[in-house]
Amino acid sequence: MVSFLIVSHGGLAEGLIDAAEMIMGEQEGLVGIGLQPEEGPEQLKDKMKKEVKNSDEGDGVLVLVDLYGGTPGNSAAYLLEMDNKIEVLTGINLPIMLELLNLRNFQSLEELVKSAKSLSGKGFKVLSEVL
Amino acid sequence: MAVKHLRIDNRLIHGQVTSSWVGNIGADHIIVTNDEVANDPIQQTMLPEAARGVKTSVFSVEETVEYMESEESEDEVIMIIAKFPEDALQLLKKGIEPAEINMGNQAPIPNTDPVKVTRSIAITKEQGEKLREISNMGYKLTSQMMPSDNKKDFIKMMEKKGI
Repeated sequence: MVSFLIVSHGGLAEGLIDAAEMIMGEQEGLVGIGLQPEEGPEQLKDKMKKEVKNSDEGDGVLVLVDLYGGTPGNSAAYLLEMDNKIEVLTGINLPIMLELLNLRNFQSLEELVKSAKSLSGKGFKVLSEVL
Repeated sequence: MAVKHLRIDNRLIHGQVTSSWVGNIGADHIIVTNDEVANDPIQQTMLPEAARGVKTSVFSVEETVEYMESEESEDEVIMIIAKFPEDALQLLKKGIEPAEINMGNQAPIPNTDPVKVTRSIAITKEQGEKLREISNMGYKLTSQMMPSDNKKDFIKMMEKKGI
């Protein structure tokens, strides 16, 4: 199974995991890292690499980052240099994360990336237009 | 030479910079200055992406100085982000004259022994010396996290911590 690593500013990563587990129950291979104000790209890079090595079961790691262009996203670019099979997706949100957590039970890393692309934006609704 | 704002920040271009500082300064060109970053192909790609549409250059100290001497720079409002105090000092010594100098983030670098001055600024004694040198050149070195925060005297802050 593909392992997931959620990386964010502050407590969002832990919060997303907390919310996802509230809905889907406890998950294996799901780890969060939050950049703290006193940390920089170097520390974050080291933490992420360590976490990738720890969590990769051989099927690869999908890294889900909160914001394209932020420090977590910038640092995550260096993960692509690792020998592990890694993809990094930015702009993560709860609906996509829930879908991917379901799909990873039977999809490979490559398939998950394709799925994520087709899912992006689908969780966003204007409720007054739906009702 | 019109550098409106020189920021010392080892997180380089990030949320605080793009969401608050660039607009507040009115910058239309961000230059990130550090020799190592300028030679890193990942940063050369990612940093302009991080700037969300604002013209961005990732230069060595030497390239920054050259650019500031070029005609192209004359009509621009430029914000320089120097990665470390030593980068900022080099720029000043080579003739860059910014209107203001501010300490952004200095996250501790692994395998160094920095002193924590604020929650987001940790500097070594050697870096403190570089900053004092900047101050001795006649610049007021401020510490201001966001444009809406008060400007504090960074030299006083670091001296209080024994640097």
